[in-house]
Amino acid sequence: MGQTIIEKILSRNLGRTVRAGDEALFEPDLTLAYDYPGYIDSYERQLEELEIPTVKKPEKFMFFIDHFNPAGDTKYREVHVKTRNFAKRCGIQLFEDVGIGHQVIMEKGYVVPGMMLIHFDGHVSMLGALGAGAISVRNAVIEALATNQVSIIVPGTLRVNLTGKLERGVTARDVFHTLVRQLGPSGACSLCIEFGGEGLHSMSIDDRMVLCNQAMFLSAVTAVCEQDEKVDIFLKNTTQRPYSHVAPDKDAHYDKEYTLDLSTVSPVLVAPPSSAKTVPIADYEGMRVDVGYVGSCASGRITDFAQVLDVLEGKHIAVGTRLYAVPSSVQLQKEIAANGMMGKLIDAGACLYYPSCDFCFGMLGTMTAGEVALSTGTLNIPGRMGCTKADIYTASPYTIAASLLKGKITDPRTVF
Amino acid sequence: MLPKINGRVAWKFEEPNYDIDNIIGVENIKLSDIEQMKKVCMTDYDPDFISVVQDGDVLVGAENFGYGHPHYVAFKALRALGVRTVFAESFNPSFYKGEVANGVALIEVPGILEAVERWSTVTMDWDREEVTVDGKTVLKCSHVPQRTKDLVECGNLINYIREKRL
Repeated sequence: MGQTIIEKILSRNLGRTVRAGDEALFEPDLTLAYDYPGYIDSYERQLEELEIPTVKKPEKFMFFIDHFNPAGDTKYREVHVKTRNFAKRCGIQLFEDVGIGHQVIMEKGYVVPGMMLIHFDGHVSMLGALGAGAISVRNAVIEALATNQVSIIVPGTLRVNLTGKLERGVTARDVFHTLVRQLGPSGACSLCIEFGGEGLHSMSIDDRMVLCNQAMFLSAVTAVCEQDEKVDIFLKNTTQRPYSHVAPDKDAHYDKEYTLDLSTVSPVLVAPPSSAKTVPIADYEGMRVDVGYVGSCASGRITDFAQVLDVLEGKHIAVGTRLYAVPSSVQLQKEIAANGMMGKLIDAGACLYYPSCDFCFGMLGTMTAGEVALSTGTLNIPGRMGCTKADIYTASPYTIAASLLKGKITDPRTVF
Repeated sequence: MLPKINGRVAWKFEEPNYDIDNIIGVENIKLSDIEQMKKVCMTDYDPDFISVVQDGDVLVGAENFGYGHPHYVAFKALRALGVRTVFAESFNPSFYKGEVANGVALIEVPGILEAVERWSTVTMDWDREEVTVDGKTVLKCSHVPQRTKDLVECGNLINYIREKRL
């Protein structure tokens, strides 16, 4: 019997064939971690507790300072300083002031097809856009720091075949949440989502990052895409690492298979209080909107800002609304400055900010009771943007732009 | 040795895709004081929960228990109140990884939701991977991963690394 992409990645890592359900100790090609109280600072304390002075293979780890950046409170700056010191002491490469880790690691060329990576954070699944297997292990990052290995059960696979093409105004975010709507929030429970098909190949790498980033909201372990020439072009510009594509075998066993015709997808919103609640935009059309946010690891790339400008170029957001535009990395910030997008966004009324995770979890751009946000952040749970009494709807950049243009929830297909 | 599990069902969550942050309320997910956490734990379901729950009690959940963006506070409170086991139809993988690493026994048992009422007693047979409800109904568990058994036996991730991996 053949193998799925994730089975191949994990088999390659282990040096022997594994299949869904097998439990084994893997040595990740890279273990990633970010500054956050209770994460990197805890790992240092836990290593001390285990009487392990340092990591054995520092080249297999990368740390990122992308939260609380810039720090608005001395206790958060303390976490940054601890992170720096810990990284330096262990010889671990630290990325600071370059943007959101999940984005940075790809644009700096560290991720190629077939790699296996782990992180605490579930959104690391977005590295699957390049054909890598990136798995959230939650607090088990310490296992890798202490032993170089982590115990993982090889997940089964939900194969999603995408056909057709998206119409203008409809995005990868609408595609993912349409899948949640059609398959249910447990549609990929404990599985890896394998995206493929001609529809996937019509989508940009930025789009594929969105698809993979949100995997946890189908209850998946991770997500991975088939690779094609678009992946090769991305990698040609970012890395010199050797790689080869990882394709599923024709006779691979899938726990589930699903086909979605992209031309049938319409704009959707994910309504409060959870990522389970995907609704057609029509359900909320006309509702007042106060704030829009385009950024986070899930969005905040060229494709996202292009979608915003497709609606807002030469126009202005409605009086009384606010739009936070936060590129996912410093490189992207530089790109949108150079290609003129930044100026156009500012002319449209957007507040441009420094790349950081902070808008996504309410450290910056905090809301207050009764306000309504439309966000490309990863999550819409109450309190995520700093106030449990504010309502967060996640949506595509197109929908956010169209809604802020009108000051109310608007189907972007009606404003072109 | 794996701990003996023979506990009363302190609550049965019937909702699929249950978000465990609701156990303490989303406004409390940043609490740091354990007494405060205990005080708000489960009060939206049973205002007297803290006084009726006993050490060794268990919870029962539906499909994909732990969906969402689980924070650790809810189970910190539950562990402090003596709840260290959840039987559910299935678990969300993110919640599962995080909480098993804290030594909580998360056991998948298809059919458990129908089989129990609040205050039923559920007994776990680790060797046979079966549970018995009120001494009568026997249900087969899904395979319990070795990692889960090791973590439950060791009590937490650090003990597990020290005892099994170094």
